[in-house]
Amino acid sequence: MKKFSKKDREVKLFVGPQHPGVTGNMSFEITLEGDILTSVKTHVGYLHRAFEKLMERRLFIQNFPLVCRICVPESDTNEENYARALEELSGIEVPERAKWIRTLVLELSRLQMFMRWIGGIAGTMGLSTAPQWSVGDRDYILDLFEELTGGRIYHIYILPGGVRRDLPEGFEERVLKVMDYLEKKLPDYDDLIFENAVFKKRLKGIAKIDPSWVEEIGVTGPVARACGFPFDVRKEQPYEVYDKLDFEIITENGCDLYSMAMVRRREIDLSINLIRQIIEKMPKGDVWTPLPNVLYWKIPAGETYVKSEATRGEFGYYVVTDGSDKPRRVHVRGVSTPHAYTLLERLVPGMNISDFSVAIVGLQTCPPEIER
Amino acid sequence: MSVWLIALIKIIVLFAWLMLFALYATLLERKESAVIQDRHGANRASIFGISSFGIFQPFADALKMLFKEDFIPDFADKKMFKFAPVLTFFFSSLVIIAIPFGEPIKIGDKTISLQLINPDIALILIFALSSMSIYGVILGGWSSKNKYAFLGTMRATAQIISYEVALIFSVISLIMVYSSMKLYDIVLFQKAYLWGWLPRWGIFLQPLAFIVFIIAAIAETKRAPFDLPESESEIIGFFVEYSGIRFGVYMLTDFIETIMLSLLITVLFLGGWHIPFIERTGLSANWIKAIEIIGFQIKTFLVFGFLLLVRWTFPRYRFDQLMELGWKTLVPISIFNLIVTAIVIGLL
Amino acid sequence: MIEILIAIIFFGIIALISANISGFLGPKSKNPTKETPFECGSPLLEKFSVSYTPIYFFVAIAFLIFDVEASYLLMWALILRGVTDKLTLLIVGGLFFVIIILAFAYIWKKGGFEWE
Repeated sequence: MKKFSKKDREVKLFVGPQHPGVTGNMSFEITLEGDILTSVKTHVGYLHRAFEKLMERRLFIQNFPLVCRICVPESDTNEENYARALEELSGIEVPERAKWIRTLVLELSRLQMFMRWIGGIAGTMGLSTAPQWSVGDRDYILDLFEELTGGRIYHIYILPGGVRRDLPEGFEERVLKVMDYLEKKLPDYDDLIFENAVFKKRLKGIAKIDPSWVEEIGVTGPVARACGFPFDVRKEQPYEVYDKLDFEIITENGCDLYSMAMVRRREIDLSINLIRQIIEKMPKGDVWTPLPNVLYWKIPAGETYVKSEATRGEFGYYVVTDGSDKPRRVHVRGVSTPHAYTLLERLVPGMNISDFSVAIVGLQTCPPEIER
Repeated sequence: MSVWLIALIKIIVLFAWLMLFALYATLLERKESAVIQDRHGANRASIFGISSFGIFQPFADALKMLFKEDFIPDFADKKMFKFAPVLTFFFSSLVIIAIPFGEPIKIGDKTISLQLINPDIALILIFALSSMSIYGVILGGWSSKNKYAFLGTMRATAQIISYEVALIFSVISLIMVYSSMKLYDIVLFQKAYLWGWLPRWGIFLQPLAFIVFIIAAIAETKRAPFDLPESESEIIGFFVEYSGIRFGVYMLTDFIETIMLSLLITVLFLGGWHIPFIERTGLSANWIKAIEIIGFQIKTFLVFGFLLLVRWTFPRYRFDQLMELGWKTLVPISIFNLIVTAIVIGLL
Repeated sequence: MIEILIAIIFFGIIALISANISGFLGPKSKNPTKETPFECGSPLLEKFSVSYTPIYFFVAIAFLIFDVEASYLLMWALILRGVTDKLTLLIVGGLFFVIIILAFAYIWKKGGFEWE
């Protein structure tokens, strides 16, 4: 008689890239025992565009259309990081007002990313009302972007030396109007998902992170803050004008998906608050220090690492120049790389397959930034 | 008229009613979700430029599915693959033969009951038929020979048979109260008043059974928040290999099952076609009959709308939570309800 | 009973036709990639094999137990209100209930309803 081992009960199959529950183009090779996942292996490469290599062959200014595509939904963090790196290397001063406008754009971008995430986490749990609402509300923010920059997703608005153009007439009032609307709408979201009993039941205790992993793997952002680590680049190493704004780092202590969700929920409030502060305190003045002719713009040799707090965590750019008109090396630290590889592979054993796609969205993995 | 002819006419009318309801149920669901989600919903399907709020959408969908390729993958077990949707459609739509739609009407000197058959074991028949439709799901998922489909099948089976227990137990307490399994008699029993003002409906006599029944009913129809067999973001569903009209039959069967359960809820708990205090208005008997038939339709429609509504406000349960809800909450509640009902009835 | 026969034939024919009609109406096209099982667009890792965890088997057994009990109870419940000697019936039913509850508690205690 044939003896059945544990291996006989295991089923191996692929989740993704053509799977409704996986965000973006990535794939997971999972091993199932019944409904329980025993292991997972992340496969990437479906979206590899060799951006880092391409940048070495292009002029500094030509790289802006590339960097904004490194994380598709959140382009401004990339632009700001790359611009700041070039400014540090070339020594260009940024006017004060431009810094405020940049911060405003970053926070608006963070807000729209959070709205998109609400849709993601609810959608993977089969509640398709929240995605419809949040994508609709996100559109109001995208409308603001369209008015400001001309683009809805890819803005190419933040350039070395400042921003491309000043705020249009009455833009501040329109931003405040959208913020008022969102603040009025957020209690509805609370009722629909964040306070929903089934939502809490689904997320509490799922994907529990060992706090010792945070430093070991390099977990950042809301995921680390959900473990009680008060780590936020906006506060640790303030860039742009975050040192002039008044805010506290948001932490939770659950280490699970529910805490991550609650951190993000509270950061939505924080972002709205920050945008109000920015509009209140914004000074008048120039918005752009004119660059030399960008076609022949050479930056002296040097290297720098700039980082910022993206929606998902710490986002960094390492730029090396050699005195020519092209960067020698650009390396991007994507937040999703440690999250979707190491952290997810550690979290998964013992997890129910139902929670798998929730965990992927809960960690806010963004495949385009894993493979630059 | 011969018995054959009357029966055939009744069946055709029932079938047409069922198909129209099921087709428009798809539109209703889309429109209802659209209202909740700040959208317009389907409104583009038009005939000669007349779109009128998407009223032709169900027919457009049905036609589109009819003219799709009839594709059966090579690796599948072809006979079973073909047979499975037929089976679930057949059994779930056959339930309608035992449902009464109103008081018997008189045409000439003939009395025609608005019910195809009125067997003594109507409730057992209904639950037997609706349980049989799970075989279609099992066969469909198994014969697909796809890992996702198989996972979905196992989930569907476990979920449906688990909630069947709670469903049956809550119905037993109802049978105890009504002391009959004939649906017509059950409605007649409810056409009375407690203390002269409260309609003697199932929902007032057995509120606990009603709650258990409605939760189990949503789980039985595999709809959100219990749509685990077809949870598209986890395992794509037991019908992942199906396409075209076969997939359409599965979808339609979902709606038919929901319609059947809303019919049952109306008959068992909401007094069937009984409209409270209508006999005290002094209308003629024929008018009352007509109003009651319409009232039955409206009640069914409202229950159906409620069953749809739940889907858009709850996230999906996880499988272990689903099973816990079924076995550790609903079954004990329904057994408790059963015992209390038995004691009350025995001592009265 | 004629009605049931007609209904079964009618619904059976409709079901058969509706599920198979697009074989006559629809187009046909052959493509080798259509003949692979859906696994998210990736090549198959291993062949399909029927393998499931024992919990599903336990669910089936538990269902069987309680559904058989329910079918006994149906008849008992049907006549309870009508009989004159209700007390005997209640005692008999009570014994049956004790067995049901004991069985239920036993399965619960043994962890039959744990799904992890």
